[in-house]
Amino acid sequence: MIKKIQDERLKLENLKNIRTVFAIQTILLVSLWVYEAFIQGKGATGTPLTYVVLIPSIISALLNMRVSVENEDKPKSARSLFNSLTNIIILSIVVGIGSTLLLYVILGEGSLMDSLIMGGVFSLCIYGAFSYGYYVKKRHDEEEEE
Amino acid sequence: MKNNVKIARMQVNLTQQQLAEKIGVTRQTISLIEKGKYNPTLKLCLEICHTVNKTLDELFWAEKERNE
Repeated sequence: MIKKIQDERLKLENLKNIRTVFAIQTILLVSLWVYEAFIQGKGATGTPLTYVVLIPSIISALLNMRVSVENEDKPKSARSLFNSLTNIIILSIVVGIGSTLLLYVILGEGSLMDSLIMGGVFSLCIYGAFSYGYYVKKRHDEEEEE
Repeated sequence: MKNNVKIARMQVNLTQQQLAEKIGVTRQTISLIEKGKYNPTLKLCLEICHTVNKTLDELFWAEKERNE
Protein backbone atom coordinates (compact mmCIF):
# COMPACT_ATOMS: atom_id res chain seq x y z
CA MET A 1 0.00 0.00 0.00
CA ILE A 2 1.25 3.46 -0.83
CA LYS A 3 1.75 5.60 2.25
CA LYS A 4 -0.05 8.94 2.27
CA ILE A 5 2.38 11.84 2.00
CA GLN A 6 2.58 13.72 5.32
CA ASP A 7 5.65 15.81 4.60
CA GLU A 8 4.73 19.37 3.63
CA ARG A 9 7.84 19.74 1.46
CA LEU A 10 6.91 16.65 -0.56
CA LYS A 11 3.31 17.80 -0.87
CA LEU A 12 4.60 21.03 -2.36
CA GLU A 13 6.91 19.11 -4.66
CA ASN A 14 3.95 17.02 -5.74
CA LEU A 15 1.94 20.14 -6.60
CA LYS A 16 4.82 21.46 -8.67
CA ASN A 17 4.96 18.14 -10.53
CA ILE A 18 1.24 18.33 -11.22
CA ARG A 19 1.76 21.83 -12.60
CA THR A 20 4.43 20.57 -15.00
CA VAL A 21 2.25 17.68 -16.12
CA PHE A 22 -0.66 20.06 -16.60
CA ALA A 23 1.42 22.36 -18.78
CA ILE A 24 2.63 19.50 -20.99
CA GLN A 25 -0.85 18.04 -21.19
CA THR A 26 -2.30 21.39 -22.23
CA ILE A 27 0.31 21.93 -24.92
CA LEU A 28 -0.31 18.44 -26.35
CA LEU A 29 -4.05 18.87 -26.15
CA VAL A 30 -4.08 22.22 -27.91
CA SER A 31 -1.74 21.01 -30.66
CA LEU A 32 -3.86 17.91 -31.19
CA TRP A 33 -6.96 20.10 -31.30
CA VAL A 34 -5.38 22.45 -33.85
CA TYR A 35 -4.34 19.43 -35.92
CA GLU A 36 -7.79 17.80 -35.89
CA ALA A 37 -9.83 20.96 -36.29
CA PHE A 38 -7.80 22.92 -38.81
CA ILE A 39 -5.24 20.69 -40.53
CA GLN A 40 -7.48 17.66 -40.92
CA GLY A 41 -10.26 20.11 -41.66
CA LYS A 42 -12.90 18.80 -39.25
CA GLY A 43 -13.66 22.33 -38.07
CA ALA A 44 -13.88 23.55 -34.49
CA THR A 45 -17.29 21.96 -33.93
CA GLY A 46 -16.34 18.69 -35.62
CA THR A 47 -14.20 17.39 -32.81
CA PRO A 48 -15.00 16.83 -29.12
CA LEU A 49 -11.51 18.08 -28.30
CA THR A 50 -12.95 21.61 -28.63
CA TYR A 51 -14.87 21.10 -25.41
CA VAL A 52 -11.86 19.57 -23.69
CA VAL A 53 -9.92 22.75 -24.53
CA LEU A 54 -12.77 25.21 -24.02
CA ILE A 55 -14.25 24.13 -20.68
CA PRO A 56 -10.98 24.06 -18.69
CA SER A 57 -9.99 27.46 -20.10
CA ILE A 58 -13.32 28.96 -18.98
CA ILE A 59 -12.94 27.39 -15.55
CA SER A 60 -9.36 28.62 -15.32
CA ALA A 61 -10.47 32.17 -16.22
CA LEU A 62 -13.18 32.10 -13.57
CA LEU A 63 -10.85 30.73 -10.88
CA ASN A 64 -8.20 33.29 -11.81
CA MET A 65 -10.65 36.10 -11.11
CA ARG A 66 -10.25 35.46 -7.38
CA VAL A 67 -6.50 35.86 -7.72
CA SER A 68 -6.57 38.96 -9.89
CA VAL A 69 -9.10 40.71 -7.64
CA GLU A 70 -6.76 40.34 -4.68
CA ASN A 71 -3.82 41.42 -6.76
CA GLU A 72 -5.35 44.71 -7.89
CA ASP A 73 -5.18 47.25 -5.11
CA LYS A 74 -7.40 49.97 -6.46
CA PRO A 75 -9.79 51.76 -4.12
CA LYS A 76 -13.42 50.83 -4.67
CA SER A 77 -14.38 54.09 -6.37
CA ALA A 78 -11.60 53.76 -8.96
CA ARG A 79 -12.95 50.46 -10.23
CA SER A 80 -14.87 50.22 -13.45
CA LEU A 81 -18.53 50.80 -14.06
CA PHE A 82 -19.37 47.18 -13.42
CA ASN A 83 -19.39 47.79 -9.74
CA SER A 84 -23.13 47.58 -9.26
CA LEU A 85 -25.64 44.92 -10.18
CA THR A 86 -27.90 47.45 -11.91
CA ASN A 87 -25.13 48.44 -14.30
CA ILE A 88 -24.43 44.80 -15.07
CA ILE A 89 -28.12 44.11 -15.79
CA ILE A 90 -28.32 47.20 -18.04
CA LEU A 91 -25.17 46.15 -19.87
CA SER A 92 -26.41 42.61 -20.47
CA ILE A 93 -29.78 43.87 -21.74
CA VAL A 94 -28.06 46.37 -24.07
CA VAL A 95 -25.73 43.67 -25.41
CA GLY A 96 -28.69 41.30 -25.81
CA ILE A 97 -30.75 43.82 -27.79
CA GLY A 98 -27.73 44.96 -29.81
CA SER A 99 -26.71 41.45 -30.81
CA THR A 100 -30.32 40.52 -31.63
CA LEU A 101 -30.60 43.51 -33.99
CA LEU A 102 -27.19 42.84 -35.53
CA LEU A 103 -27.97 39.16 -36.11
CA TYR A 104 -31.38 40.03 -37.54
CA VAL A 105 -29.68 42.34 -40.04
CA ILE A 106 -26.99 39.80 -40.90
CA LEU A 107 -29.24 36.72 -41.13
CA GLY A 108 -32.00 38.54 -43.00
CA GLU A 109 -35.80 38.34 -42.99
CA GLY A 110 -37.65 35.53 -41.28
CA SER A 111 -34.97 34.85 -38.70
CA LEU A 112 -36.39 36.88 -35.84
CA MET A 113 -36.75 33.87 -33.55
CA ASP A 114 -33.15 32.71 -34.11
CA SER A 115 -31.79 36.21 -33.55
CA LEU A 116 -33.87 36.58 -30.37
CA ILE A 117 -32.61 33.28 -28.98
CA MET A 118 -28.98 34.11 -29.76
CA GLY A 119 -29.33 37.62 -28.36
CA GLY A 120 -30.82 36.11 -25.21
CA VAL A 121 -27.92 33.69 -24.89
CA PHE A 122 -25.39 36.53 -25.31
CA SER A 123 -27.17 38.59 -22.71
CA LEU A 124 -27.28 35.67 -20.23
CA CYS A 125 -23.57 34.96 -20.77
CA ILE A 126 -22.60 38.58 -20.16
CA TYR A 127 -24.84 38.71 -17.10
CA GLY A 128 -23.39 35.46 -15.73
CA ALA A 129 -19.74 36.39 -16.22
CA PHE A 130 -19.96 39.97 -14.95
CA SER A 131 -22.15 39.17 -11.94
CA TYR A 132 -19.70 36.45 -10.92
CA GLY A 133 -16.93 39.05 -11.13
CA TYR A 134 -19.05 41.44 -9.10
CA TYR A 135 -19.73 38.77 -6.47
CA VAL A 136 -16.01 37.95 -6.17
CA LYS A 137 -15.07 41.64 -5.79
CA LYS A 138 -17.81 42.23 -3.25
CA ARG A 139 -16.78 39.28 -1.13
CA HIS A 140 -13.17 40.46 -1.34
CA ASP A 141 -14.16 43.95 -0.15
CA GLU A 142 -16.19 42.52 2.73
CA GLU A 143 -13.27 40.36 3.83
CA GLU A 144 -11.04 43.43 3.76
CA GLU A 145 -13.33 45.38 6.04
CA GLU A 146 -13.68 42.70 8.71
CA MET B 1 17.81 31.07 6.10
CA LYS B 2 20.13 30.45 9.01
CA ASN B 3 18.69 28.73 12.08
CA ASN B 4 19.66 26.81 15.21
CA VAL B 5 17.76 23.61 14.59
CA LYS B 6 20.89 21.48 14.34
CA ILE B 7 22.32 22.68 17.67
CA ALA B 8 18.98 22.27 19.44
CA ARG B 9 18.55 18.78 18.00
CA MET B 10 22.00 17.73 19.21
CA GLN B 11 21.29 19.12 22.67
CA VAL B 12 18.38 16.71 23.08
CA ASN B 13 20.38 13.84 21.52
CA LEU B 14 18.22 13.21 18.50
CA THR B 15 19.38 12.20 15.05
CA GLN B 16 17.80 13.78 11.98
CA GLN B 17 15.92 10.53 11.41
CA GLN B 18 14.53 10.43 14.95
CA LEU B 19 13.44 14.06 14.86
CA ALA B 20 11.82 13.53 11.47
CA GLU B 21 9.90 10.50 12.70
CA LYS B 22 8.65 12.36 15.77
CA ILE B 23 7.32 15.22 13.67
CA GLY B 24 6.10 13.10 10.79
CA VAL B 25 8.25 14.42 7.97
CA THR B 26 11.12 12.88 6.01
CA ARG B 27 14.77 13.05 7.07
CA GLN B 28 15.60 15.01 3.94
CA THR B 29 13.25 17.79 4.99
CA ILE B 30 14.99 18.14 8.36
CA SER B 31 18.35 18.16 6.61
CA LEU B 32 17.24 20.89 4.20
CA ILE B 33 15.81 22.99 7.04
CA GLU B 34 19.09 22.72 8.96
CA LYS B 35 21.02 23.79 5.90
CA GLY B 36 18.62 26.66 5.40
CA LYS B 37 17.61 25.45 1.98
CA TYR B 38 13.96 24.84 2.74
CA ASN B 39 11.64 27.41 4.24
CA PRO B 40 9.30 25.46 6.57
CA THR B 41 5.74 26.54 7.36
CA LEU B 42 5.02 28.04 10.74
CA LYS B 43 3.19 24.84 11.68
CA LEU B 44 6.27 22.73 11.05
CA CYS B 45 8.51 25.24 12.87
CA LEU B 46 6.26 24.99 15.94
CA GLU B 47 6.35 21.20 15.84
CA ILE B 48 10.16 21.25 15.74
CA CYS B 49 10.19 23.71 18.66
CA HIS B 50 7.90 21.49 20.75
CA THR B 51 9.98 18.41 20.01
CA VAL B 52 13.31 19.96 21.00
CA ASN B 53 11.83 22.04 23.86
CA LYS B 54 12.84 25.43 22.51
CA THR B 55 10.94 28.53 21.55
CA LEU B 56 10.51 29.83 18.03
CA ASP B 57 12.76 32.70 18.98
CA GLU B 58 15.64 30.48 20.00
CA LEU B 59 15.45 28.34 16.88
CA PHE B 60 14.55 30.67 14.08
CA TRP B 61 15.12 34.26 15.12
CA ALA B 62 17.51 36.15 12.86
CA GLU B 63 18.49 39.80 13.06
CA LYS B 64 17.30 41.88 10.16
CA GLU B 65 20.04 42.29 7.60
CA ARG B 66 21.21 45.86 7.31
CA ASN B 67 21.81 47.34 3.91
CA GLU B 68 24.93 49.29 4.63
